[in-house]
Amino acid sequence: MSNKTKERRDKEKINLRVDPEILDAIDRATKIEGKSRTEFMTQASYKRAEEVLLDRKIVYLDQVDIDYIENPNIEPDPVVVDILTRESRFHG
Amino acid sequence: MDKYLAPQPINSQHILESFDCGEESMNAWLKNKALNNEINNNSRTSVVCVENKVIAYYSLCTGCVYHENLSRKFKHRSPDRIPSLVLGRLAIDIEYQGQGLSKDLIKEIYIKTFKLSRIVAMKVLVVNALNLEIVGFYQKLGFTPSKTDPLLLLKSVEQIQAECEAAGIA
Repeated sequence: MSNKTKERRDKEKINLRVDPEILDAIDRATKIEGKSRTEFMTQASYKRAEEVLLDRKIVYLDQVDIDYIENPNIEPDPVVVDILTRESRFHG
Repeated sequence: MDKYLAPQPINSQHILESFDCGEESMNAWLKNKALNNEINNNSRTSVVCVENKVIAYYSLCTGCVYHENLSRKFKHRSPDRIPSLVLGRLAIDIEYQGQGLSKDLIKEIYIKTFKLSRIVAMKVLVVNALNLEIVGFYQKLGFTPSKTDPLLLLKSVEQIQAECEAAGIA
């Protein structure tokens, strides 16, 4: 479920102010892993970001989404009915 | 068509080490968190196995939707909170991708939601997506992207109920 057609966007630059002790630790760990500082920092924070995004249980939504939930279209979606009636690979 | 035993609750006998869906965070979560979450009742993970080796999994827990425009002060007391079911993660091992297993898993999740919703009130099935490509994947399976947060997808439980009834699921 990754790679393939993704819209290409330009890389953005970020500036950070970091405590020297923290930066020392990051640089030492970076060296051990044989990565660049940018690689190391983006990979580590991206990993954490993914966790946070996937762990969301409470969400705040605007009126338009609340309306979708409160007054849903209850006409069956043929795509879903098709999924529900197809032969499954699962047994037992 | 290869057949698999229907998804089972994860337990300590399942072999997780070799699982690779191509998304490192999803692999790591299965290996490091899923079983603990199961024991602590934080999430329920169902796994599809081949000889006890996990080849696909998904996890569910309950959640809550709030109206964004309510002031923070009222948010946690609001009677308007909407109970939800959250599909936090769904992943298939690379070796088993492209055979339609995702449709089988989503079918199972829709049916589970339908049956659960008779016992526990819930209005919406919410999916957390990692990126827009995954949003597209869920859209093809009947979910509607949130207009508030492009990485969330929604599916009305009432519509799932209607679809299950139309499909003759009791």
